[in-house]
Amino acid sequence: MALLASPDDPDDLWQAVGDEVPAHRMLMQGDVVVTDDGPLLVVTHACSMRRGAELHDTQMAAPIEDHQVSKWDGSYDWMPAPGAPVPDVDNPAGLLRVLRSVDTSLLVSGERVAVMSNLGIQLLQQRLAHHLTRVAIETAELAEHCAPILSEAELHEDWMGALGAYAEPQFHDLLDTDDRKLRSWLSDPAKRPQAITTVRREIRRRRDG
Amino acid sequence: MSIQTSDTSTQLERDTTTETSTASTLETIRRLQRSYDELTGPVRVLHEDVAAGRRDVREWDLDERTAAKARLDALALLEELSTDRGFSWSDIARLSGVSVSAVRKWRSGEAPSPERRRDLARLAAFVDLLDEIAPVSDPASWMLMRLSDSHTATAADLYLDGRSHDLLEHAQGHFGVGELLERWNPDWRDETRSEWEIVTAADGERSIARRS
Repeated sequence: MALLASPDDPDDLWQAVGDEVPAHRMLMQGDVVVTDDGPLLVVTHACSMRRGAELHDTQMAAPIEDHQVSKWDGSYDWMPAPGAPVPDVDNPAGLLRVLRSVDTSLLVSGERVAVMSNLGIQLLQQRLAHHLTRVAIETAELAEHCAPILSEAELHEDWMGALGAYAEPQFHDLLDTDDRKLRSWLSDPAKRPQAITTVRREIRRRRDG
Repeated sequence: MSIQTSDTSTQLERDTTTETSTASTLETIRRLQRSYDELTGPVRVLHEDVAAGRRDVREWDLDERTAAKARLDALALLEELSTDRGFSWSDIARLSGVSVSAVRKWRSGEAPSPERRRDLARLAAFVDLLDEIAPVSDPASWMLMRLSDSHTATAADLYLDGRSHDLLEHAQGHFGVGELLERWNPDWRDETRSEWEIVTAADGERSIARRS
């Protein structure tokens, strides 16, 4: 059995690529951004990118290089990114050996060309943890841990898409009301669907007015 | 010979034989053993017939509900699963066997293939059925939570492996988690064992730590 997981289909790595990438999606682990400093893969853990709603000033990133990863299990220095539309790069892959800190402004001002799916983010986290520690953690465990922040990112995207960027503060207000009740629900697998239902109904109420 | 099957009946027979000879008692015991032995086969067959019948009727029910749901358009099905049931887009994609990107396109108005639309309809029908016939207060969380604390398998994993009937049987209380998982994968204990748990760390954030 392979030590590290791989996708059944490379398309499963991505939530959106190219023109499909929503401009209002929050910056997230696994984003591929073409910056003035070259193409970068954002690797800062999804839970560590922000303090509250504000992004930290710097993030960790790996440079994207043109490298044909022959096999997922074994090429531990790389995070393959097949299908990410990076200009002049046929076989994009993040080089985990050259992780570096970059200014968040560099990422925000760059062109985001691909955003990873939840599965893609879990595979990235697994490879990253293994690269740094040689510990292989099951993706199912990583998925459970990340579910609250990835659910929040999804709801944020829905909110911004339906109500516009000006409504962003109200999104965070909604999650924080009642002693952060909805955030607490998002962290609890038994109540997460209730939180999702509550936010989506609120989006519908505000949108349909 | 009348066949006594309840514990009470057996106890009555035992009481009436207390004062009789040893030979008579042994004969009664042998007679009861033969009676129960003779019953074992028919009862097993009856049990299997009832289980098979229940399964057929439930499949029929699920098929009918799926057909009814399939008359809705994809947007209506997505709205039902996401807003009314509380599934994330990522979960809907996974449970429908497609990429998140495909779901995004459906949300934008692109029509799914008839097969994929039927998969969506079947998921919506399954959740309705779960809600209606089983004591599950929140079907979405029930499907996405671990079935056993120390193993990572979820009802969603079993659903994806075509175990919807077993899940409904389990949800209704016909058998426990152990049998459900055993039917799914005899090696589930080894293959899905989790040595990790999610804890709240000193900074108030969630961390993954080895199970204590």
